[in-house]
Amino acid sequence: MKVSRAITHILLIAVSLVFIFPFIWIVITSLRGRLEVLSEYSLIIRQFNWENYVSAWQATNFPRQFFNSFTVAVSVTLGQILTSALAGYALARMEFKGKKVIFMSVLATLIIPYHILIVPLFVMLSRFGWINTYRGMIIPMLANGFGIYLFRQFFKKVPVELEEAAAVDGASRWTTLWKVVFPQALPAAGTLFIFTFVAEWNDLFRWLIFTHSSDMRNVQLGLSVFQEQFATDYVRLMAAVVIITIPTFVLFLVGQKKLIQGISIGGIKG
Amino acid sequence: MRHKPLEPYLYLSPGLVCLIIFIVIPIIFLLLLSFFNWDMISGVYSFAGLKNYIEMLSDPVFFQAARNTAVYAAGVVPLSMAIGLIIAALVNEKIKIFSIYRSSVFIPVIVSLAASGVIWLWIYDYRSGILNHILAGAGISRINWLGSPDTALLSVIIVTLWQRIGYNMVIFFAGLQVIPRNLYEAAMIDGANGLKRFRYVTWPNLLPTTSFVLVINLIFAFRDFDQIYVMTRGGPMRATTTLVYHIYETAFSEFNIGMAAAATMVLFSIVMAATWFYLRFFGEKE
Repeated sequence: MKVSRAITHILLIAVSLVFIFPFIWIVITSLRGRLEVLSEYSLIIRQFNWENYVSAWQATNFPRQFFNSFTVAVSVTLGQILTSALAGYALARMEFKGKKVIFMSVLATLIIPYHILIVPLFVMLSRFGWINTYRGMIIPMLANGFGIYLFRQFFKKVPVELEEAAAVDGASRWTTLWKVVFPQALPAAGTLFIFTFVAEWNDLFRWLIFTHSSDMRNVQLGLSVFQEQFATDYVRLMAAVVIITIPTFVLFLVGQKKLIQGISIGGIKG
Repeated sequence: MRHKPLEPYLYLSPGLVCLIIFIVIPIIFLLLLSFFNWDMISGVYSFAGLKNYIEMLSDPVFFQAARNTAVYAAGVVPLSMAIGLIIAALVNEKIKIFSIYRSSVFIPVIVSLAASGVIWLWIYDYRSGILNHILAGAGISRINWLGSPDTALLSVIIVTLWQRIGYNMVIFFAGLQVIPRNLYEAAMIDGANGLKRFRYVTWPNLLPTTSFVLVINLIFAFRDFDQIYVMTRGGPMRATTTLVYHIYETAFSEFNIGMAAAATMVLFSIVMAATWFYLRFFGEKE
């Protein structure tokens, strides 16, 4: 028993190292000298070249790209929480014709990857004049079947008595939703926020196709263009990777549980 | 509690209208586009009948892309599921150190596929990459990982595995946690060893989770794009051109919207088939 236990630990340590090693390696690389990096394979950093980060930050228009990524990711995320809470509330707490069909259809949208919609969406957005605009990046993403499903599940668990008490006090449905029911489902909002923000922040595909000017790039497209221009400048490339991964890494540190909850509840993201 | 008859539809409308305009209508539009010639620049279009499909089926690139996608999915899906499940089973303990193992395996999931691609471009680098350096230490000659048509797709598969195993692990882990402990205790009393307990307790109870993981992994594998774009641009010699990459090139480099739509319909059918299979065997569970 003791031996098998030790083997399990050794195995898991080895596995963990395989997954973590690339992180250690990019951080080390990002701090090396530009020539040193081509022939130095030890894990020792002789000199910390922090200026690589400054140089990477300035080499491409990262401030603008951070702004674009943040603006779109936050707008999409907050928009999804709003539309999902409203629809989720109707599906959880109201009776109406077509409820089952609507709920099944919402679930069905979950399995459609965004990549399948890209060609017709491109033609549509071109017609709207939405290519290379913030509204083109935000509005099509404002609803998500996953969010609607998530809120419906959470709202169903909120005790009906809470709502009835509010109704006795003369509160309208609308007030009850936002003042009584929604606060009870804040964990759902948190899960959806982290889950959607990470997915939006990390997306390259949509930006590659729906934007074309350099000031409309997000951080991922910016990284890709940076890589095209400075293919072998690994020192600054790795610094850039570290910089653009910090926001999702921070979210991982503060919200690992919520992120994992989002994934295991059924996160198929676009 | 009572509500006005139209109230539910009012609450539903922002979300539903958005889903209809940006998911349902594009799917119908996609089907239409596949039967039309569509000039993106002038906006002129004409009915093409089956021309796009016929052209697609006589295009060797389409078949190579289909084959590459099949190889990619066959490499990524079973391996990322099996390894994810094994790790999930090993870390299924309530001791602190195990949560550190779990976090370590999970952490690549938060890195974008684009950044993963850039990281691995460096690791795979022919001259200075650490992978070839380690191989050299073991007496193996350098491998041109991403630069050779023989190894490029395999190299992309490895990157995806690194990024996706943690994703599958956390879903399997959640599934394992809800299997009642007493089932294992009963099996132990009956004298079942570890392997038998897995076969007769874990596996059947985990089946709904496994089938769910299978479907989302298939969908992921058929739509993966970012890491391929960053690392190989579908090359060398189209060795990593998958269906999605082929669609991207057809639509946005060759501006052949009709044929791109036809190829997307193929992808759409595959996703539908996978989902149908899932629902058929595992019912309409919520």
